[in-house]
Amino acid sequence: MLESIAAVQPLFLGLVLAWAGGYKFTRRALVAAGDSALARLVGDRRLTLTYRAVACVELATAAVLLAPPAMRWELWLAVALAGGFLSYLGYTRIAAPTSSCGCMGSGAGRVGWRHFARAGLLLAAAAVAAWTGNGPITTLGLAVLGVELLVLLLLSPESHHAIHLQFGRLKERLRPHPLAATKELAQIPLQATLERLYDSPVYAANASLLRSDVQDYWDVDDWRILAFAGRVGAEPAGTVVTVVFAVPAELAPERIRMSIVDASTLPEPSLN
Amino acid sequence: MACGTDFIERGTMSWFCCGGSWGPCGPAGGGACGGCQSGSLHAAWPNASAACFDITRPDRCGKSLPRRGCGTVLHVTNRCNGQCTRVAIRDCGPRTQSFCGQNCCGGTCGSGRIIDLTPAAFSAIASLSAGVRPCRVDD
Amino acid sequence: MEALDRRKVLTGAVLGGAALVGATAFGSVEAAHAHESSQSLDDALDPNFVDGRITAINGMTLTVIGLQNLLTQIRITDATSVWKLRPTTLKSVDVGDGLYARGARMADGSLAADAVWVNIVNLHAELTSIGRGVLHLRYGHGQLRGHVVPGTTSAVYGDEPATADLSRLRVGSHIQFIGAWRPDTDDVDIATIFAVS
Repeated sequence: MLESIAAVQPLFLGLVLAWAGGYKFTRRALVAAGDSALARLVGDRRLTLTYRAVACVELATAAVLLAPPAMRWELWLAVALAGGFLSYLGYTRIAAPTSSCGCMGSGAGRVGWRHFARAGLLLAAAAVAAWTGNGPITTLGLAVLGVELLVLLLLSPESHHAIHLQFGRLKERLRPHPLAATKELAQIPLQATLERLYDSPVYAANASLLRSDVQDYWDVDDWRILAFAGRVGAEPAGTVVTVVFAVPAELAPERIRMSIVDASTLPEPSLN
Repeated sequence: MACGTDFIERGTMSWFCCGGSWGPCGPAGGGACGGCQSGSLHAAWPNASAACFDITRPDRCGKSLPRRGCGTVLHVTNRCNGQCTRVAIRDCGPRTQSFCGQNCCGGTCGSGRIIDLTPAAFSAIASLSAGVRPCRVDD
Repeated sequence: MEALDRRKVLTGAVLGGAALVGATAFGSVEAAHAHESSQSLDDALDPNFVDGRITAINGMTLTVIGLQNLLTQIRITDATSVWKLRPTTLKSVDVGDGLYARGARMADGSLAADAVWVNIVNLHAELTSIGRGVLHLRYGHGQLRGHVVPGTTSAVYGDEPATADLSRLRVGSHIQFIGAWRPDTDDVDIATIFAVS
């Protein structure tokens, strides 16, 4: 039985390595590799060369594994490669825990147990095949191959994400939107007030006075008042002022009011 | 009013972090060009390379952005207040094809995300909390 | 009480008189020269900007540690705006918060801040799932939980005005969002979501 399982491992390993190597030649992969642990290991200057070199090794190994007959040394090479992956993942977790792997898919986030489990599966597959030796491909072997590919798919963070997304979409169709209650909210968000203000002629004409972001805002009747710090005057430093805008609740940019107040004449703000 | 010498394009600008820092920016690397830092006057350009263009596809928003490689200095003007900053390209981005919408200020509108600035560069000409502003880019 | 007095005065100033007030008090209202944002060499850190985490708060001064463990003092004044999910004051700021600050570098090396943005993030993400009050977000470096804050979180769909209505958000959609990171967690409070309509 072990010989049947071992017989399909070259096929399994070859397919996986072909996928991993081929992915690394995509342009998207190279851009994403900039955030991977490999970038931290070899530096930005040598990243492209190193990344492509790893891809070539993977593809070359895939090629020899997929081309019959599967020789023992090819399988030991796969063992070494899988061992190298595990070491790289270990390095990532210790030295660059927030970095991505850059292994087989883009944007997979930081290295987690799925990456280790996937690399462990590859190492086990290679080790079983290298140790046991070759045999004929049987139905049992093909069934095991199918299960291995399915397990690899489920373990891969990239496909886990795709499956998770499909479930999310299905839930979306079957139940009311979890945030449906926000549709009934009457309050105008601050962002909406700021958009109206920024889009108004009075803001455009006076934006160069402003030195700060919004310092304070409050509602009075149908108005929202926003206060900014600013500077006016001919001197390099100028006079510190508070620039206050009043934005009406209705959409009426011509009604937006502005006032400039000498900051030194105001009561102290409560900052502590 | 704008700074710089030759007009390139109008659109919108946003900001991003790079170089590793606190929070979700902790894992951020040095950008596609290397050396990108949130505290420096750096930017991401959608056509920093052919590989970059394939991801950002500014043409899908009707934007014709010339190739400007890593290290190129551009001038970015906030069309709301006329303030301008120079920046050096240190990353690939933004993904213009996903953000073709417009942003307006005083009746001046820009559409299509054509550049992302570091927090240092964006805050020199706009408020970080605004997120997106209409802009103009010059050489 | 002082904050209310200040608001009262400002409300009176902007609503009480003519639509545009203040020009006569200051003569021709011209912007003062913005402090020369000394356009630093391309790869040097901008001296008028600070990026780091707060290690101490003493009165109106923040001590911030940045890249290469560089310590900087940031001075908060009456003319400083503080953002932490929304416009707020220094009392909302805690040790351990991250921040960006823009201002003027003083001779003693400190920064007199014009604006401080605490824990602010601006990220692109994929909405992987939507729960009651929480959005699961997948961004370039991993996963985040985005918390909907009643009265604050809003969404901008395409070119429409911002709205508090979040019921049009869809699983699988790509969004950009501004939010405030909760230090040392994978959680973010969301201020604004920019969604493609």
